Amino acid sequence: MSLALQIESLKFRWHPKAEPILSIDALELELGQSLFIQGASGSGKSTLLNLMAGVLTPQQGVINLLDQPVSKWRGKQRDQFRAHHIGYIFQQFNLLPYLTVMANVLLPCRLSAGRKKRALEAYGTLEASAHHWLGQLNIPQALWQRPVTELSVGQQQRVAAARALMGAPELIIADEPTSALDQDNVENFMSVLSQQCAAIGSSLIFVSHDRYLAKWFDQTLTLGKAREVAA
Amino acid sequence: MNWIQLALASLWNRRSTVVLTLAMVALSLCLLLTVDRIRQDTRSSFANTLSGTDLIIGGRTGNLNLLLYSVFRIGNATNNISWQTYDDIRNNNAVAWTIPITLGDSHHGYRVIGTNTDYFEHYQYGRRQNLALQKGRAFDRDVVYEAVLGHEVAQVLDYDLGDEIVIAHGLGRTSFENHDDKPFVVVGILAPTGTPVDRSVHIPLEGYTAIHIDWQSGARIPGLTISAEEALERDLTPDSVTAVFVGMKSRIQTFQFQRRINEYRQEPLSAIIPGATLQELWQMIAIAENALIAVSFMVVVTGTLGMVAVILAGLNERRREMAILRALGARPAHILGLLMLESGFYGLLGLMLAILVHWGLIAAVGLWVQSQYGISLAITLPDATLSMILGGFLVTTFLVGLVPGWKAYRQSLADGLTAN
Ligand SMILES: Nc1ncnc2c1ncn2[C@@H]1O[C@H](COP(=O)(O)OP(=O)(O)O)[C@@H](O)[C@H]1O
Ligand SMILES: [Mg+2]
Repeated sequence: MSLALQIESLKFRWHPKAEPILSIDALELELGQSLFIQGASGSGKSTLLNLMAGVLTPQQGVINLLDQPVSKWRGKQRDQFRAHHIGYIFQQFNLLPYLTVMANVLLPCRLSAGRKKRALEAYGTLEASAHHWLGQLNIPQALWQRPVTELSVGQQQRVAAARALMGAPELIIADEPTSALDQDNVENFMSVLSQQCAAIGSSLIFVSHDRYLAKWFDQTLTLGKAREVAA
Repeated sequence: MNWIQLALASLWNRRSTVVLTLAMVALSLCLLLTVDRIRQDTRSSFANTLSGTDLIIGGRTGNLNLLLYSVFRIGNATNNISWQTYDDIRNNNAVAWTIPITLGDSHHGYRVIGTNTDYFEHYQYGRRQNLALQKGRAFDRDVVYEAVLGHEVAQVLDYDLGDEIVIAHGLGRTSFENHDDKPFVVVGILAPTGTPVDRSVHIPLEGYTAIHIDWQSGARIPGLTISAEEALERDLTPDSVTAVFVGMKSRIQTFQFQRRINEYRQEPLSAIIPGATLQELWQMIAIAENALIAVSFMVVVTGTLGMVAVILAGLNERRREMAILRALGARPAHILGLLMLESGFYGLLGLMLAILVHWGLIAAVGLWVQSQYGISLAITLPDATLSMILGGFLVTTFLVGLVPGWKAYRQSLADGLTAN
């Protein structure tokens, strides 16, 4: 059994003397399975994603990604691991405004040889790969060469998803990517994203304060104050 | 890695700020380049004005003053040399040749020089080039009312051979007192030299005497009018000359002869070695030059600081950009490098632009400067010293990128992937 994510006795605090903002005893996610992280605003969801992405490191405990002790590595290796194995989607403003839709989608392959190789293996050329993902995420072809500033918020989020899927990274991490979308767009976005992650066998780790989205996922983690609500 | 392309695309996105910042950097460098060019070319044009002359002798005066009025047509002579003394100098065994000159009158603001045919034979400029006639001939030994024009005089005033010119008394551009009773005929026009010779009107010494024959201490003698023809009847040997250019038979004798002239008993004289006096001039000018260069450097420093300030000010707006790059796997070191690239880009493009603007400027005003000041500004690349300084500037612009780079590095570490 291969694990996408494994957390053991993790504690993270922003300030040395403060109470830990995050405290997770054990969490395991099989590769290909999806995880929903739910919690109120300020409960530490984004902090946890930063830890998983290797931008932050925990004071205690370990985070293993793809069976590797990434949280123990040095910064440079963590940054490389992120480039090669993680597709990241923000809440909004995911795209570099000075690049076209295509150029934004191609970025991961410019920064990671591994993802470039996988994209080439699967689709022959990087352009073909980008076209594939833009098509899968229902971005009209007329927009592909346009500046991203001409896109609606919903389209921008789907382009961000296409970029995250480029080069088929094992982990797709999304930090409230639907919170700027209206209801119809949310449904559409969720279905396309989970389908495509499943298609390439990647694990989707997805954060939202909206617990109704839990239905799209195999596993749910509830953080912080939400537990008090449940109690 | 395509960081350079990314940096360029990002700059393009902010192009209005970038253009202004580039203009700031480029103009500051352009000032430095231009000041240095003017400095260099002023020196070389001064140094090229006269060559081959070993000594210049005039009435007792400051060395610089003598050099300035005799060679550069700047300022006025205070004392003349008597003809007797001139004869003594000319006949000295150590002397190979002399050029006597008399100054004081003008023609439309151009100085009139009384001299003789030795001028056309011995005067040298640049790399020991002799004067050349573009048209006509030098004046004859025996003809009095003939003029040979410097190239610029003929061009600006549109004179040709055979034209008559009237010489104005004194140096004022709008002198009311003219020697209009004794006009001179243009017999020759000199080829351009790029020296004050181009802006001179040459007439025979005898001509100078003739036009002043009915004058005394700067004014017409009342009631006395001597026509041009009548004047020819008289002895027109001048009483005095303003200065004498001297070529020695052997250069070794120059110093000794200079000392003898300075100790001349019959009248107080000054003798200068043009090159040495030019050095004195540089030493004086160096103070002003250094001040100008220092100001130019300060302007470049100011421009560079301004550029850093612009990059720093833009960082906050670009937190998102940095966070996106981080999410894609960029290391904080990449972010730092990106900002150093940006800073260096301003330096490199600013410098290339500065050189182009500098060349454009010189192309635009070069002719005017040439005609006004006789300095020919060259359109060339900076010399070795300045190139090294500019190389240092380029390296510096990359290095000062560390300042915004470091801030962005800290910022991106703190923001991680959550900047909003
Ligand atoms: N860079 C930071 N430095 C210090 N405290 C932070 C920083 N980022 C977030 N926090 C704190 O951590 C807590 C959790 O933040 P976050 O992970 O963004 O919550 P969520 O994403 O669940 O809304 C908040 O109380 C916030 O103030
Ligand atoms: Mg958050």
